[in-house]
Amino acid sequence: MMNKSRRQFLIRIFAAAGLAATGRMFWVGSEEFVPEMLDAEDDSWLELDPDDRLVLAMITPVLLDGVVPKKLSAEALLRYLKDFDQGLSYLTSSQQKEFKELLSLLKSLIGRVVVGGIWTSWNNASPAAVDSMLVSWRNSYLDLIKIAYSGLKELSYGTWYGNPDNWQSIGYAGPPEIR
Amino acid sequence: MSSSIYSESWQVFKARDLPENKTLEADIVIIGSGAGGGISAEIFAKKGLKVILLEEGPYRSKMQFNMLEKEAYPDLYQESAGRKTKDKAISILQGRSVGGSTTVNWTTSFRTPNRTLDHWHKHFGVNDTNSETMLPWFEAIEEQLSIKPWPVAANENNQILARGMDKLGWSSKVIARNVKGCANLGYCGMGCPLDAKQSMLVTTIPSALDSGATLISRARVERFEFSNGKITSAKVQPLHSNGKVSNGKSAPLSLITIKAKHFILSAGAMGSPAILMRSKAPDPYLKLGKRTFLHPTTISASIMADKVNSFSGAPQSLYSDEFLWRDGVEGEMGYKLEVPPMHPLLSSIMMPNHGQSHRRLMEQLPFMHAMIALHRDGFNDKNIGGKVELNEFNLPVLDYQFTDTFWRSARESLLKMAEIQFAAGAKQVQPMHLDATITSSWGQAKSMINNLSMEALKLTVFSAHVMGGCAMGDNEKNSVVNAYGRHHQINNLHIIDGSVFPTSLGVNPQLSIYALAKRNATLLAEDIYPSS
Repeated sequence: MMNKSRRQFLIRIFAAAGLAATGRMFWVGSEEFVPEMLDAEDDSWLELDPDDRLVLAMITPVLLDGVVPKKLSAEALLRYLKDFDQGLSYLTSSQQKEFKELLSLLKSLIGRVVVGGIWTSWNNASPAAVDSMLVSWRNSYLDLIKIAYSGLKELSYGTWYGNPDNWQSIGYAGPPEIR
Repeated sequence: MSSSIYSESWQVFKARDLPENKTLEADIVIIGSGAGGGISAEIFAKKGLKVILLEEGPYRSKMQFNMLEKEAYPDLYQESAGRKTKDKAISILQGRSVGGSTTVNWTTSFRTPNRTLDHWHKHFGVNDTNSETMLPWFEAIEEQLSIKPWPVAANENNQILARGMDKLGWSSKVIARNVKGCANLGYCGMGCPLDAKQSMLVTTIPSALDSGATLISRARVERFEFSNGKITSAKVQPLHSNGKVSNGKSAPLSLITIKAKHFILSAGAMGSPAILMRSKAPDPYLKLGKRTFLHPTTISASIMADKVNSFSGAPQSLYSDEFLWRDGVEGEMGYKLEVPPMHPLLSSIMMPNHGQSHRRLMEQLPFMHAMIALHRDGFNDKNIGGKVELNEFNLPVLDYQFTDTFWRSARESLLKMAEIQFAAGAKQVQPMHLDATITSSWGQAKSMINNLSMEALKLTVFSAHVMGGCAMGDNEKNSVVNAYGRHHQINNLHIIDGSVFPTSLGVNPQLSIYALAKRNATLLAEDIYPSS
């Protein structure tokens, strides 16, 4: 868990108007939302700590590019991350451990730079930098990196298309009414 | 009583609701409530034996089956439907609730092919188990579970397979299904909301409970205890509603002891070897958990001009064996062609790539047809399958290595599926491979597929059929049980599930498990408790 000063630092960074200038408008729809997402005192989160949430908030909208609305509301991103968190809670201890190892790696300086190719802090990572990270993972010769790519992709898409709110865009009406 | 319990008289419990340090006793303990355990439970209970049936997953019924992927996968499947081989190259769909995989399968029913039975006899000393001796058992179970060729018109997803095959001069046939009063909904994989699927959940298990059997859900057998070459008891770990030993707040629940005269292991091809490994059961010839097969399955999606709505209607009703035995039984691997229903969540996970190209495919979901090739593994010396190991949490993981014969068969299958899809009128074909682009003609697909690198983690490979690991045979040097399921070293243990198959089957496994279970449980029941 993050300590309080770090949390406030992140809140300050996110709340700064500078965010819009870096092109991340599509998920930072509401400035008040960001502190909520990163609130270390919110114990309704089952698996993801505030740093995990930050990393996923930076990566998943890029992974889902074209799928998430261009201007995903803060509320929608929060719900998405909550669904993601819920999905993680159902996984086995072994699956959870592996995913958390990936997140820990990405949160570390060396992991972010060497594995992610992200030279800025996560809160300053541009969508273009995140996208090149994903493309390089997909094309990597290293099995572990390819596994990270497919694991992250499966959880991200599984969370998105598990949600009935996101079926309209793919022309799926949902299950038939039977009762 | 919760709504999931049909009859007030049934003995149905969650393991964690039993008193701590409880010891139960029975004549027979059956571990696993899928195809093998479900069939066995009814037979022993009807004999008047005291049966305890254990299930690792939850007890659910049509009342909870709401056809939502995001709820069904974590609830009804092993590892949230995200089980994978050790190297993560193959995704494994396996059921985990009362009824096991029979609760969530797509109802596809085939008898064991004669070629497979003959191969087992010839190479694995599987005696008394041929097409003649098995025939009455197949007929009996088909009658009991209403297994009949699907009489209704196939949905468009299946018709495309038949149409493409026909255009190219190849044959396809109708699939038999275990359904009664099926409304052709298409949501079999999320549990039948109408009780139309004649799974163990609605047939043999209610019948066993009516005859006095006890069902305990959320119960994982941790290990057996032995004395003088026999199992004396099973130590059972109650699981929380999250399917785990701990719910994060409390210490693990204490083990329950169940004593019995006989034990039946029906925990499936991952679960059964894992329990014996945790128990340090005798395995003098190191055969336990070896030769595990998957029917590794390749996938080709296509976009049609008209709506397919593959998620609607009986998921599998037509198939083709045109290429299943293409080089004889023991030569090059062959594959069976079927179609999968494309529901949004699972489809989105299968699609290669991410971002815009992924979106373009998903947006055409209603127009999407997909075809699968199930490759027949285990039929020659080079094809030895995988091995089950225990991970750091003492749970099973499968180490499965691909072979060159699989890569050749995989490429061949992607080519054939694309050819069939274009012949059936596909506008575009997308083979499921990380480097595959979408193609708009057979010629283009052919050259693209011929240039794909066939390697783990690039090619999308699924399995819904885990088989083997406790192979049957008359020679204890190369098998774990005999053809009747009796363990070679442990006197009072039988294994009755898909783990006893010495190779893969070449067909969807449920009916093969049912028939063998019916025979072996009937003979064992007669042996223990002879009819006068």
